[in-house]
Amino acid sequence: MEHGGPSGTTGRGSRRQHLREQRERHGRGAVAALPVEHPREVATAAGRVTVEIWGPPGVAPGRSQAWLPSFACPLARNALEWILRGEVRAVAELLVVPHTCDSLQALGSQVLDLGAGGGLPAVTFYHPRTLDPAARASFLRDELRRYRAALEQRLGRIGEEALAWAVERHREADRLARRLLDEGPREGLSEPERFALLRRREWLWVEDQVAAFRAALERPALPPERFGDRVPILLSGIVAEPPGLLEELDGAGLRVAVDDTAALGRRLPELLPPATGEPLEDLARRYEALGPCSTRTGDLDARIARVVERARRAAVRGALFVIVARCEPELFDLPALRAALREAGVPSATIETDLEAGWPAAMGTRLEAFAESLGARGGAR
Amino acid sequence: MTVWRRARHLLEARLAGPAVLAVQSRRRLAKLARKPAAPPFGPPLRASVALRGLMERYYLEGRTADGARPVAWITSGAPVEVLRPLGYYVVYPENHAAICGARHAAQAACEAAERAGYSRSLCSYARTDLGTLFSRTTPVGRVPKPDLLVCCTNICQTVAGWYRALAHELRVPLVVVDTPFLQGGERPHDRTYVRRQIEGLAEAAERAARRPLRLAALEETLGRSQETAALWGECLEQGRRRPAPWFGLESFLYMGPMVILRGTPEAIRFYRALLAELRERAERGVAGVEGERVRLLWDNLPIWSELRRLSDLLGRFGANLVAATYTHAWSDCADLMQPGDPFDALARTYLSVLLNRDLATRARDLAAMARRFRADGVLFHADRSCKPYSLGQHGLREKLAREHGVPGVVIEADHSDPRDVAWEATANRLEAFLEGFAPGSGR
Repeated sequence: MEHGGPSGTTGRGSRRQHLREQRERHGRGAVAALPVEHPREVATAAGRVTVEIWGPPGVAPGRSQAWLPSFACPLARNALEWILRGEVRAVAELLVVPHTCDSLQALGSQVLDLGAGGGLPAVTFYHPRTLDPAARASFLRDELRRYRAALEQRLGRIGEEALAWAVERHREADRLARRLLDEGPREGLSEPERFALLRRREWLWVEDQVAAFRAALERPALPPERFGDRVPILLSGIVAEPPGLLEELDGAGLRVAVDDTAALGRRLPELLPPATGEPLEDLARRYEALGPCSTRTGDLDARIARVVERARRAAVRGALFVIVARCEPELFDLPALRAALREAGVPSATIETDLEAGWPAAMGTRLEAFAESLGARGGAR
Repeated sequence: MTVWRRARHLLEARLAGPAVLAVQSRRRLAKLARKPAAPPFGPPLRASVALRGLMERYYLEGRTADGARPVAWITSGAPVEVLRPLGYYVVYPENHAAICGARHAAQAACEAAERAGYSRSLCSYARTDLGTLFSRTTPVGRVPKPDLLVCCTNICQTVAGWYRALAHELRVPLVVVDTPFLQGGERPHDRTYVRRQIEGLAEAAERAARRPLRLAALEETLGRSQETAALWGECLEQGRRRPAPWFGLESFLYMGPMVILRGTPEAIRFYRALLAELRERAERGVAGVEGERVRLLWDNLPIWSELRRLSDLLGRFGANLVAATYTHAWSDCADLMQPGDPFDALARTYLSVLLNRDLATRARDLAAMARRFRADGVLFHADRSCKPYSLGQHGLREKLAREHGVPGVVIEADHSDPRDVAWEATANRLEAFLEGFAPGSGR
């Protein structure tokens, strides 16, 4: 198989354009994936680009209203709307549904069993949630094998060599993305641009991710004295949406020093375990090295300890939780996390998003008030 | 565990308490015999007195249980059979929350949880449970503190978040029995995974109870659970009679012992008596709703705070709920609890519960239930607090109507928090649906 190098679209173009180029220039189809974590390496090994569906924000509810009650979470609602409109089928030949929560479980079953996908094939991936490490490890490896077989059934044979290559390239992308996230602002790259680049992992071909992150890392790191007077904060929640959130933070005089969002920070291992040469084993070990996340359950105290430790290490002055409305996994952890941060001297605030198209004024008022309480000097917009 | 606490528990929960409750039960039975029926509903079941006594005794035992015997808090769908032989008193926070809902105490409890930072969009059972913990106020008197928390994800992922929060608040060990969602059926590694975790649960329970688990005792408990489930299933089957001998909304109350006492001789005795009474009523042609005109199925948890008004509304239309997917879910497991290898039987049983199965299976089950119970329609309760049950109901309703000609209506409400129940709108929708079956009978 020809794995191919970077396709040249290193994150400057649009998602749709990238997918079109991948298809037309390299003959690579696409696999769509619902949030959050899923073994994207397997789809890469099958020669497919993975495009993740985080909402998308701003999709007006239409046909999905006939399928979902009014209290469905906006992420599931918007995703189903997107699927029902045929937008997913237009770009992807398969839908991957990781078992992130009850809402996405139901969405997957509606697509698979009740025809909500209009014939769009789908494959699920189950996250082991037991606290028993041996049972967890064993199930994870079995589930990865099953997942690979399920993708092979839909996309054709996935050879060992291709899988080894995909796993290795994603490890490289992981390493670079983690550096780009942790090392902070870069010369000539605004903070919103840096985070937008990191989130292009959600749809770029892996070699393009590597090239884009390398290019960004070639820019000198900005020394702390040039961070300006922006107040460092920890950003948590599921995803940094609605669009414009990072610009608003920047404008309010806040700087994300720690990203604990499920979409980004929690999906990047801080330390990758050494490669074993067995691709599925490497995949499993990478998964096990991921930080705790409400969507994969695990131990709440471990999550609290990690968040507090990272907040202390980065000397953040506040924490902002961006909550996707009605997101149960995240909402259960919130009171304990906020209490622990408060004890550590880190005040926190929450803003709730319905994954709107734009930036709601009420959210802006809340953000400004929080920034002011931290002594941030806004008005840089 | 102090000698004093054990003695007090023995005295209150095993001697004095039951004696007082027995006297009360006799009085209630005498009162019931004098009580006239309240048309259009049939005469009240004698088993209602036994049910009340059983539930009161269960909660009475709980008041003095901590310190006297090991206590576990456990989700409704968790393998409780492992705990019973070890002498655990088992608290079911969901059942406790349902009682709070039915006794109109849920809102205050939810608000207490919300004051502690738990969002109003979280499951109202979870908020009720956490709220009663924070406020130390409960209509059952007192809930004992746990030595162990056991959470099984077969009913939802909500319980994983809820029990993590409980473990954090209470500083108590948590065992999660994680059951992979059966999308497309069970895969070989699913059962191995669940079995291994149940074995781990047994070890954790032994540690907390400081006693070894005897396999023979586990098998005996499993046998009792199987018998309880089978008896409960037989009770529910009586709904196939025309007219059905009991009013279906009552079955939500009568499933209480199946949830909180399965695996015990008390539950078996209770369901034997209930079944005998239902059969007797059926033989005599006693109807749950006199002049039964409409036979309905219910999908999802009940609206605990509105049982009375919902009963009245259905009664006005001569409508009975002859079966419910929720109550039947507790009888489905009887066939899976086969003796021989108790850990495998438990893994198979708890992996296969209704809410852990895909919508294709639920659609098949619902259609089969509609056929067997000769149902005219289905009431789908889109329950704000139960996403795995509710997301998908619109598609199920559509499929059932299209492929099987059974109409359904979706009503949005909440199983426990009355603030999320818009009764007027719900009633309006239900009335319009029922008018289609029995024109003019509602007013």
